Amino acid sequence: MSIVIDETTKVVVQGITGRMATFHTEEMVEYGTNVVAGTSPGKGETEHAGLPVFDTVKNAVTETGAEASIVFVPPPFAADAIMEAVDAGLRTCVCITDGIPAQDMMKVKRYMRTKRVERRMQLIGPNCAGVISPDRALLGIMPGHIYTSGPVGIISRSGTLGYEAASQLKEEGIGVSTSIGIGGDPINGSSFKDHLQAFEQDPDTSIVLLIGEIGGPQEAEAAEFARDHMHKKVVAYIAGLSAPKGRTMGHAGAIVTGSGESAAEKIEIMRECRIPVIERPSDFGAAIAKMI
Amino acid sequence: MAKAFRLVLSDDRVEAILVNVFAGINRCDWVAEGVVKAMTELEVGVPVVVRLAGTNVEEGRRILAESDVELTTAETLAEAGARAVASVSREALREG
Repeated sequence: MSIVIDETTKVVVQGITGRMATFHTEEMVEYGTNVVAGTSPGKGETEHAGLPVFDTVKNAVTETGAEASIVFVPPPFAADAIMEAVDAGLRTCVCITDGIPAQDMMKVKRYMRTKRVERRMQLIGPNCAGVISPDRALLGIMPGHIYTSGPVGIISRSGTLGYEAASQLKEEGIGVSTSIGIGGDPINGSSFKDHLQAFEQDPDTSIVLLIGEIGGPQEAEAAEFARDHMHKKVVAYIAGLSAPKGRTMGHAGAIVTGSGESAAEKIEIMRECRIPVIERPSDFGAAIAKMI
Repeated sequence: MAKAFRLVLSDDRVEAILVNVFAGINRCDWVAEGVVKAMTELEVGVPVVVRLAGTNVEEGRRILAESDVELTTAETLAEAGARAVASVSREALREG
């Protein structure tokens, strides 16, 4: 049981005719993801990358039964694309786009909340790597060959550090159940805590690695959730110990502006919540190997 | 990549350059081409260590192997760090 998608999940690629979308659609199809359609307004009733293209997500759902989407749409239009996915009744949406204005994401989140809880779409990202359940499905831009299947769940803001962890784990002969990139933006569709809840219920996962960084309250919220509601082991790494205050370090959300947002403070919070902290990004594999 | 090299080299405390890329939406062949171009256009003057992993890694490594530029490669993050540090010590020994 994978927690977000599996090999049967029908996927529609929003913005499929773009260069990035085309490459990653081919990668996803090769990985085994059940990609059934793409959308590109105005290009409906054509074909692209061997898939039928529709003008709208709703049309794609009607014709193919698509349940999840991945959004490769430029920043000025990406929020609309996400809301279109909501309107089409999709269960899950991964948004890869980097650069969606924060106010647009606030609009998206408000819009998502107008739907009933049971029918609400799960949004992963934006500005994220996506989701992979090794040997089952890839809904994202992660390089599939670095993963092997196993008991470690990964939730990460940084795509690259997520790959680093998975790759080192594979070297140790340890696999990943599902790796989720929640992205680098300050306002995202789902937080560490949202996915910790799912991992706690997932029979395929026995230990969760949380890869955080400077900026925002998500790590503290996750630590408290883990302390109060989880039985499974959680281990963390927090990037940005040497980041200067007030400077955006790559990700839009990676900026220390308030108290509790620095790496040192987040590490302290982790330890207070009895979550072991990995000290160096070259230690992911060895540290988790000791815990398994 | 040339711009990045120039920026980094504008700090004269820099004694080695480590390029560490684990590519997802990025691609190792793009990075490798960028590194080769930067090192061909610029007078780098310090040791360069490159570690590539992820999307199109075989292609990226091939481009580096077939190029004329002098650099050290590494496969893991730990190796990359160790080789970068070692390259500084080697240079220091040579000059000292």
